[in-house]
Amino acid sequence: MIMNDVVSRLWRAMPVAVLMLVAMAGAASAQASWQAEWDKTVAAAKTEGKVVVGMSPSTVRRDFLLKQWKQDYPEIELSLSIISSSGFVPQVTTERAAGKYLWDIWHSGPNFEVIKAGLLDPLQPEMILPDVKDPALWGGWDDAFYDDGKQLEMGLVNDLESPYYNAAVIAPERAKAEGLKVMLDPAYKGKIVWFDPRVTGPGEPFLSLFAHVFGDEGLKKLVVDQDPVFVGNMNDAAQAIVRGKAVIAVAGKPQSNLADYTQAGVKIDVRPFGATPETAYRGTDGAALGVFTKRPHPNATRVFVNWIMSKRIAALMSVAVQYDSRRKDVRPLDPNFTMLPGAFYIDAQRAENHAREYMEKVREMRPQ
Amino acid sequence: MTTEPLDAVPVSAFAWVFRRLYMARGEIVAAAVFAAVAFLVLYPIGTVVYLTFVPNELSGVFGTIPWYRAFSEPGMLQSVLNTIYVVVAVQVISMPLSVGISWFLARTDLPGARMIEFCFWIMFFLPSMGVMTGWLLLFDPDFGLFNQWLIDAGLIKASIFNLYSFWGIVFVHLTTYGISVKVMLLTPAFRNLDSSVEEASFLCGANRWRTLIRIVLPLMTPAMLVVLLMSIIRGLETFEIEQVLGTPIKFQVYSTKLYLLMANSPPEFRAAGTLGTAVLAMVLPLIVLQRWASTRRSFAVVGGRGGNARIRLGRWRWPAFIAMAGGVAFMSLLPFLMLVAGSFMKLFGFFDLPQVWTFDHWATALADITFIASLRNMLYLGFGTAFLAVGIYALVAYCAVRAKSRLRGAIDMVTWLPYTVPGIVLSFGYLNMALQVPIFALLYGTVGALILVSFLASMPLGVQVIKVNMLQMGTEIEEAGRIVGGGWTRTFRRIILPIGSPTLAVVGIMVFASTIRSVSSIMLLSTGANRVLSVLQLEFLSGGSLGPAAVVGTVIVLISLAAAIVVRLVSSRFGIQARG
Repeated sequence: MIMNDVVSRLWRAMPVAVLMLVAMAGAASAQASWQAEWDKTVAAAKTEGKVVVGMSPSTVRRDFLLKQWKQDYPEIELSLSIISSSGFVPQVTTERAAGKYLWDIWHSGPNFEVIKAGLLDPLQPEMILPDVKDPALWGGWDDAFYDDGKQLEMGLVNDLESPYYNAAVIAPERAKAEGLKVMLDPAYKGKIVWFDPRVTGPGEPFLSLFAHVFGDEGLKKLVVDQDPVFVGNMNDAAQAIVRGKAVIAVAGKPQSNLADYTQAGVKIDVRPFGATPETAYRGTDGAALGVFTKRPHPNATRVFVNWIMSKRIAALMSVAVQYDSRRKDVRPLDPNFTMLPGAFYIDAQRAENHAREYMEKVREMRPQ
Repeated sequence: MTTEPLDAVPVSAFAWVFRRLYMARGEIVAAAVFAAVAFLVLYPIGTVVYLTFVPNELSGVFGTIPWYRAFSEPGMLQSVLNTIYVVVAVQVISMPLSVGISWFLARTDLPGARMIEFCFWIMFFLPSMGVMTGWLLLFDPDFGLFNQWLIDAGLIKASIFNLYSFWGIVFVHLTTYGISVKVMLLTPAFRNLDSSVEEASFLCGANRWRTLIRIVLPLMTPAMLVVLLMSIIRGLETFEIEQVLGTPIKFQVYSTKLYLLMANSPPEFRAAGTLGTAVLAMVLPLIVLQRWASTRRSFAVVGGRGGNARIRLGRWRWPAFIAMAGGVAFMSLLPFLMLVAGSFMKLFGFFDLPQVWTFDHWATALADITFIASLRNMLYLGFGTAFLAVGIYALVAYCAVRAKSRLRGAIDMVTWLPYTVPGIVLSFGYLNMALQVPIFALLYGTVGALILVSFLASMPLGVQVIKVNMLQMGTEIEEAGRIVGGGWTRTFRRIILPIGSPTLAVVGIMVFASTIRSVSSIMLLSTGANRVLSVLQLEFLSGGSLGPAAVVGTVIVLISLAAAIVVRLVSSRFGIQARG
């Protein structure tokens, strides 16, 4: 009786066991499959011996990449060039017209000229490692990619940016209650410092945020009536706040811009207006990723793509450059300053947010 | 055996051709020089000019035309006017000052003249951004130390110096290149003047002032015109000073507008090219005028006699020294010390921190993973360009002045051209040339490509300065060389070059210093493999690492100074400074 019962149970469990075995075999086979592909790619990359990357200006990120890559793949040289995104496309198209195909990786902010010039290949076929190619870890490919086809330029960083203010002059309670509307207070006329938004750079993406929050009229009021002081670099903005010449700054993140000052012992309480969709926009910190067509080192390119998108490198880089990774499994640096779940944020570097058109308008409003 | 007249002897066709070629060798050399220079200069400029007539992709009927696009940029007219105001103000002040200083340094017995002259070299080597930051520390309306001292002393109630103003911009121009480059170039020219000319004037009863105005300055016309023209063109192009000091006070100039177009995404190369081409068109008549004024009569001041007596200042000697030394120390040593000090300050300009000084910036910069390679590349670039430049510029200048060829004027004109289009615009033309000309394409991605571009970018400065020096040499010197049997190559090598060596030394060091700190011309040709220190400095600046950027800037200046000192020591060791 007992025997029959055991046999009967075993018989009933048989399909589950078979299924499990099949699944395990499948998983093992899949692992064997990607592992084999990965090993083969790494071996071929070592034969190529080099990967050529063009990246946006960030010495911290550059140093991290060079040091970490050398540690992980000493046999493959990483040739990193800091590029000006505006001059780079004409440079590469001219090179290609002369038959020179020199670049493997694009690692700068999303740039539609690169796409329009047909310089990039789809990125997903380059992904080999399972965690790298899992869209859920990146918030879905629709969110991660910046091009219309969602396949060419992918953001690696969650860069939430808000204007910041001197809390000794503007009460944090007021900033919290009124948000960016504080910027339209006539009391702060001439006391707002802004990285020149008429030039492609860190001041320009804020235009989409302000247009979204204030509308076109509000934007005009801010640019013309409030008479903000335009400056040509981040440090001038930070210094204007530290020296008390300005009360509000529209230029990058306070924690990175003012780091030198606070570390040196300057006492100043500077805070961002907030991390809500009404006070902050999302960007990429110039850290999008793409692969060039006709790249000279295709295997080394694949290794680099999987390496920089891996959890280990994403976590290390996040700490090194002080920007959050887009990977959901990498902890944000400041849990109090992250995107609200499910909220819609202006992603200023997406084409639909018309930052370029606002830039033109500001040039007309402020010709000098 | 009969004899026949020589011209009746039949000669082979080969010998006839050879003889003709030999007789026309000057023309041939001039033609070859012109062809090479014209190709190297006109290729990149032609690329830029061509692009200005290619419609771009902006919408609108006229929006497709780059010329319309550039000149419909909001505020363009006002910016052009602002440019003219700044250029005029800077030149009106700097030209007489520089001529006066150069005369004092070269023609009088002013004590410490060599040292004072060297301080002007230091001024030239200092990066304008570094100098400007230093002046801001003193003359910022809110935190400037000088304003604070005056207020604390009770002399004033509110700040009176404000660098963020029109006159602040003019002041920074004057203390960076406005005066220094003129003194550097005019002093050797004044020094070349044969003192017998002045002595003759004194003998005729003229006093020092009348001699200076009626005799010396007219003889200096070519040098002064070249220097003035260079300064005007340079004044049209520089934008860092106006970008920093002008933007907050809504004072844009032509070059900052050009920068706005180039910084667009996509960059508006074509529209920016039209602005560059417009300058070219504006400057061309001035170049023609300068050529005419320089060649309409002889300006030879270096003769066979070589008198070099100095005018005695008498009781004015020491007051003149104090005024000159004080002024030059204020304009050169003070910014230099601020630059060096800034690289050791935790935060530049903050003296009330718990710890003001630090070695951290030096540690960061020197430990940078690319520093050593960038330094090595920079030295290759600087020395490679300087050596190439001195030899070839001298030959080009000689052809522009002395060649018995109708192409002489054309050579002179064409060497000016790289100066007339802003480097940031011309860089695209250089990129095209480096990629499309097969022999240059081999250099692409190497320091060799950067040397080629830097050689072309410095050509106007180098060739024009050497040309002025050659205009000052009397033709009798060469004729004497020929009489004793020297051909033109031997005369050039054994007579012209040694006499011109002080000027060549100045040109070499100026080319070296300009090249190693330049970014705009080489930017599009720079890669990870041929990165130089100036590009690394830009990377630090762009990444917000101001301390390490200041360190790299200081290293560049120190290397320029070291090279200048070596040049001066070597020059004096070999007697080159007898005149220079």
